[in-house]
Amino acid sequence: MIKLRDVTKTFGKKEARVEALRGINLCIEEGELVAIMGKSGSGKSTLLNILGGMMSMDSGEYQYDGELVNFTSQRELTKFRRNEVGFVVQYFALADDLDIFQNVALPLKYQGYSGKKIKEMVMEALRELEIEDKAKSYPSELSGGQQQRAAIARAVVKQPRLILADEPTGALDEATGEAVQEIFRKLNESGKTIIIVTHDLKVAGHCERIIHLKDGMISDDGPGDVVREEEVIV
Amino acid sequence: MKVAGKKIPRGTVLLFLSFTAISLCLLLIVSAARAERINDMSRNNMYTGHQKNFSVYNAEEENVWEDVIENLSAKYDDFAIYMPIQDPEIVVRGICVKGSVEVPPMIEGKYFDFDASWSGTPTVILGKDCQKNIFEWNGKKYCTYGGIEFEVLGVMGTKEDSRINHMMLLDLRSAVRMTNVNTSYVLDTKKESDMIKIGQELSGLFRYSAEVAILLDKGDGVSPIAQLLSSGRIMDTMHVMILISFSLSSILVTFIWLRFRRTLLYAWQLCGYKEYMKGLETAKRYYLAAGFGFVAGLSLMTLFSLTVEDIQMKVMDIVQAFGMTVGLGTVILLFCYMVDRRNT
Repeated sequence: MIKLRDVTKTFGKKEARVEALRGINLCIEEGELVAIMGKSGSGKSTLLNILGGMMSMDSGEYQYDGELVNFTSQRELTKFRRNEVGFVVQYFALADDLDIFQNVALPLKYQGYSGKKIKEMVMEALRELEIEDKAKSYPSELSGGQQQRAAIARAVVKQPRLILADEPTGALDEATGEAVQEIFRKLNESGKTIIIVTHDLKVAGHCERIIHLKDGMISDDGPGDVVREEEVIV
Repeated sequence: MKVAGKKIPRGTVLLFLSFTAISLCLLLIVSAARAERINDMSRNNMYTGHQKNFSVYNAEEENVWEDVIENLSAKYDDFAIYMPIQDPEIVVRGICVKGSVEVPPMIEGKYFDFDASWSGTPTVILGKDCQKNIFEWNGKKYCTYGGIEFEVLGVMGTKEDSRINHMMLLDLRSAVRMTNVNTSYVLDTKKESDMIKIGQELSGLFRYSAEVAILLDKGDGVSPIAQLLSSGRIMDTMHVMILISFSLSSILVTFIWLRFRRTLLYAWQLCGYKEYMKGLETAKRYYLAAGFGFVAGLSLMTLFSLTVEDIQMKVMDIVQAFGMTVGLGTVILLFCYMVDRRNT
């Protein structure tokens, strides 16, 4: 489904130049649940942003379903993001003046759906995430866990095949984090490809594959339990 | 903050307050400027304030104005020639106007345009206190002056007592026919800078048919800054300063508003909104807050005009202030949106 070849990305110029990604080669099959781990500044969020078409790369190739993603066209990237990817981020990115229904409905706007269809799709997503009763609440009236459920509902409402999550449990307590992790597991079982950037070994432990980044390069790529044991030993 | 169960972000409240203030300020400025203009006009006997007197003498034929007006109107816009007529009771003038110079406040009908003021058909604009002798015939209003029946094009006047209320403006051809072509006139131009050009042209055009005495000086050499701060302009300058300070504060508030909208902008980006969708959604929210601000400003202004007699608001003031608010708001939004996009 996803194939990266020699992907590089640098930020800044001259002395301030930082090589965030240095020749990443990666294959991710459809239906995989993958964790990307690494220290701060290792390039994991940059990699996730490139995978989601939020950021362009300096060189290399990105194939999605066998076709090259065109990073030279903002229009193409936007289309790719709109049709293929659902994003979940650490601090939820929910608009505080929109209620949960309106927040979850954001990806469906300008897509040609009728109001009735949008309502059906949003309520279905909220039901799946068990926050149907919070549709009329505002984000500030919900707990962190409920807000993250709403953010996940927004990511899945348009039924994307790929879900990208950047530290989805980073702002949550342990119990809530585990519940969110369970949601990702269920989504993966329903056929979604999920890539999670995380610091949390427990979260990574639930994934079937862990990719470890170090200084912008892949230092490890293997099954979740094996890497987890190595991490624990270290 | 919640209004009618809907959450209003703090930035939007600030934007609303900012546009309430700017709309109120614009409405006050437009109304005050209109009132000031009418006061000036009345004080200046309906002249712009930089008019020039001139005399025509030794003209042998009554129709000497024919070629002059034809040539002047072909070359210049926005000038008027007045011919004062002696009358012990009211102010009477003949007038030929091209473009717009000073238009008095009209109570009904329309003011002279070039065709009406130079048609040869006797037409008149009456001050509101000069309507005693009006009569109707065939659905049109007429009045008799100097033995001629004039069609009444409109009635002008101000609420307060003013010279305009006691004035009668006749078309120039009829005025010349009624009196004598050899008399005193007044040349008035919309722009002060046009006075010398039009005055010289006028003298030149008369050279074979009559003699003209007109004194065309080049002003008293007042510097632009001194002119800007002169007593006549001080209010205009103050209005501009107020508008600039309100605009700057609105720019600041718009930046704050956009900052408060960052999460939503990010959410749109995550959801794959195209650039135009983001722009459209941003503009929709901005104009909604600004629109409510304008309505609030208008309500306050209505309240002021009901309680303070000196503040009078006309429909045209609202239209002008609305246009200026929309224009200013659009420029501010475009500027702030572009800068914000570049910085994020």
